[in-house]
Amino acid sequence: MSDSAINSTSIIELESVKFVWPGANTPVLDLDELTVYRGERVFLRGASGSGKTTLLNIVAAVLQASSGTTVVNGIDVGALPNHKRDRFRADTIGYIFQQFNLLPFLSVSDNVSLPCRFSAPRKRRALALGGSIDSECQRLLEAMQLSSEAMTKTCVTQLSVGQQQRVAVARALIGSPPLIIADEPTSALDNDTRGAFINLLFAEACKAGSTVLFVSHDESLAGHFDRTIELSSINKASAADSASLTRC
Amino acid sequence: MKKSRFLSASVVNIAIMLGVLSLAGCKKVDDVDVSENITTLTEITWDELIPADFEQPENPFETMSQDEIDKLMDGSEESKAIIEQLEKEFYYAPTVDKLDGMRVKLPAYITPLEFDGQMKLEEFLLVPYLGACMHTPPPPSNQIVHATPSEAVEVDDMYSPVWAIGRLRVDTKKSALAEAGYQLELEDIEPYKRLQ
Amino acid sequence: MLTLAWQSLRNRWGTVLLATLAVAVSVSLILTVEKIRHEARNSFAQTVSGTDLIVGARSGSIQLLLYSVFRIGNATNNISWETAKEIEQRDAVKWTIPISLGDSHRGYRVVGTTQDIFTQFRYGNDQALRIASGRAFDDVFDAVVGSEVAKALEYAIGQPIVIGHGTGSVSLVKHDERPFRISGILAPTGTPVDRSVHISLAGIEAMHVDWQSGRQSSDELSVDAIREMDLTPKAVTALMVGLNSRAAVFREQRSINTYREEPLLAILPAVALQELWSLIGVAEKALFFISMSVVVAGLVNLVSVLLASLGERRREMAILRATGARPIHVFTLLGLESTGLTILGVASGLLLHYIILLSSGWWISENYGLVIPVGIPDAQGLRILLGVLLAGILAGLIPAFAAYRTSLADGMTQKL
Repeated sequence: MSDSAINSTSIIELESVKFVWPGANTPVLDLDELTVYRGERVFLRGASGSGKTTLLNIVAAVLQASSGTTVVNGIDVGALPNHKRDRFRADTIGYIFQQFNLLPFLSVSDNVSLPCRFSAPRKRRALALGGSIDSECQRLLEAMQLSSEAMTKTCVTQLSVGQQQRVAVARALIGSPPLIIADEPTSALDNDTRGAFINLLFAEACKAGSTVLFVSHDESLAGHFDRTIELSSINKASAADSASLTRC
Repeated sequence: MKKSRFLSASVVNIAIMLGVLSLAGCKKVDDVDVSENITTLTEITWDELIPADFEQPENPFETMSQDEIDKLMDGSEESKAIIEQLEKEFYYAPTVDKLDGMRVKLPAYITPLEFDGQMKLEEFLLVPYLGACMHTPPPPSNQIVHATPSEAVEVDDMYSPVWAIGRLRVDTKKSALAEAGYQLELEDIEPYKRLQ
Repeated sequence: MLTLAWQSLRNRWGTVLLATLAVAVSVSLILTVEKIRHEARNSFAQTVSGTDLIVGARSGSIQLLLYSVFRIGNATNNISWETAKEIEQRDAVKWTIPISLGDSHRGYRVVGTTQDIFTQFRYGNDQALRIASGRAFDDVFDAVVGSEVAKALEYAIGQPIVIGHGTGSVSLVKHDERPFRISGILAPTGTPVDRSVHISLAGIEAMHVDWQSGRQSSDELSVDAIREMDLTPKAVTALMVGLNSRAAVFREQRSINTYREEPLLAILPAVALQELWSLIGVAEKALFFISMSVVVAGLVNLVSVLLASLGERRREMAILRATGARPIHVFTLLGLESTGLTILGVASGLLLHYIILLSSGWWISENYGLVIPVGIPDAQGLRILLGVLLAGILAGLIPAFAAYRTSLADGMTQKL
């Protein structure tokens, strides 16, 4: 693993990253460069099919870039073997889906504490912050404006979508992972609650020192963020002209 | 690739399942431990159970005329005594006493005498040919071995020959009631396979 | 991981319950079938012991075995008393037990025999008949009943009973005037002896004193007059023979089979038993095979239920992956689930097996004379349990592996 290009203030550094699905001719993703700095709140905007999911997967080390370097939190994830990538993701990233974030057979607090089961560093940090996993869960749920008493006993399927998304945020934040990736988390929410949701997310992320990479197609949210990246402008592969073939 | 791995995994699983379950289905109790006496095992034939110098007398009834036979069958005491005497001579079957105590391996067919609760053999007779219990003339007493295993043995096919392995005992006591005969303290039974 | 697996199962208990139940039923089936098979075989093999030959009128060897030992079916003809005596007096013969069949008492077979049945007859592990209460027959009209007869009909010593002619369970013509009396009750043997009523040969003759023309005559002889008569039997149905030397059996058998005075058949009971067993054995093996197939079906069903549920659980897998679970965790989770279900299924099956045995045990013994002891599973039962458990755990690896592959492929990208 080469440390030569690591900038300690950046959390994501992509260089000349291309991604081609096996068997396909054209790449889905073709970036010259993408950098996100620690503590930033970045809004990544892209339409469906613009390759944003693929990009997220590459950053989260789910997919490996076909070429180029992918450095996240100082680690070249492209060079990691499979099991180390899983470990890396568990330790480094808190992930929020668009919907259906929670495991239906676990209670709310069990859902929130899930990452601590799989990542020792996160568990350690959570314990250090709160003294016990349970109290950390409670603290985060309260921060998400979910009254913890009733919450911990509730079956997750009884929560509203908004409540579920907020629980998802708490889960993403527990153990203070360096990077929070949110993949269209507000799409299922009402317009008026979107702003409140983002504020809650930012407040806690800031406390934890986590960077937020927020992906959405909704332009109106851009105002909340430090920086907006238009995926279509940096992704050479999403050019409308399908005739432009890029050679790897 | 996924599909074929599944297929092979399934086949392996089912094979293991069947294997384990079939083990549950059959169990053989065979080997009786050979005691401290590690004497050699001698393979013997049925001929060796008859003294070499003994000549089997002919069946007297074969040489008699029909009239003579009818006369003997008249039921009189005298005839009965004669028949008894003839039978005694005909049935006289001496044993080879020096075989007593030898560890032997004898090829034989099994006639069961006693079964245990699970239809395993507790006691049986060894004879040189199958059908000794049916319509053919019965073998003489020096061609019958009475086998007693220390533990009941399981024999799957009662109609196939086996190798009977054990210590031969010659019962030299002869009385009015019983003939001398051979006993076998059975150690093991093996299926008989003809070696070419 | 264990708590995760437990929570996951609890959440889906409706679906998996049926599959587990199927496994439980199949396990209890095979355990029960094996148990009954084992006990039936035991009972069958232990019916007669220490008898070198059984002699009857010439018929078939299995038929002779069936009517003389199992008291099933009938003889076609009898053996004359002279012949029976002649055989008894042979040098090679140590003892004989003559038996006379053909009559019944309330559905139970009546067996005419001599005192030798109490001294010479053996069954099971060389066990003799034991009179639990009372004594053997002394008087012409004494009867010794088997344990099942005494229990089912609630008999006591001294009780008068009436014996009917023929083997039907309901006697249309009775010998009312000549009741027999129960002089003794036998201890249980687990053989057809328990279902028989034993009287002396003289008793059989006494019963038939006025049946000479095939139907009951109208003259009535008093009981005392009968006692005074010469009640030596003219014929018996079969003869059990013990020899001085077991190896002499072939010669004696041959001699009896070629007996010139009357057509006879002599069988080696073990050989006939073996022949009968080979008939039953096929059905027995088929039964085992079927039960085993049911178990396999139950496990296959369990696996398929788990596999089917994987489709719905892809989201779950993705969430787990997203929160840091590695594919091996997913594999372990599903492996634990299927193992847990298998254990539950096998344990329930064992419980169900005991319930079946305990609840139907008395019915089986009443109707089939088969006593099935209930205890911890024997070696065979334990092997079956272990085998099914192992097979289930291994089979459960299939959905675990499938989930592993799926979660690898999907990662977190599973879109709903």
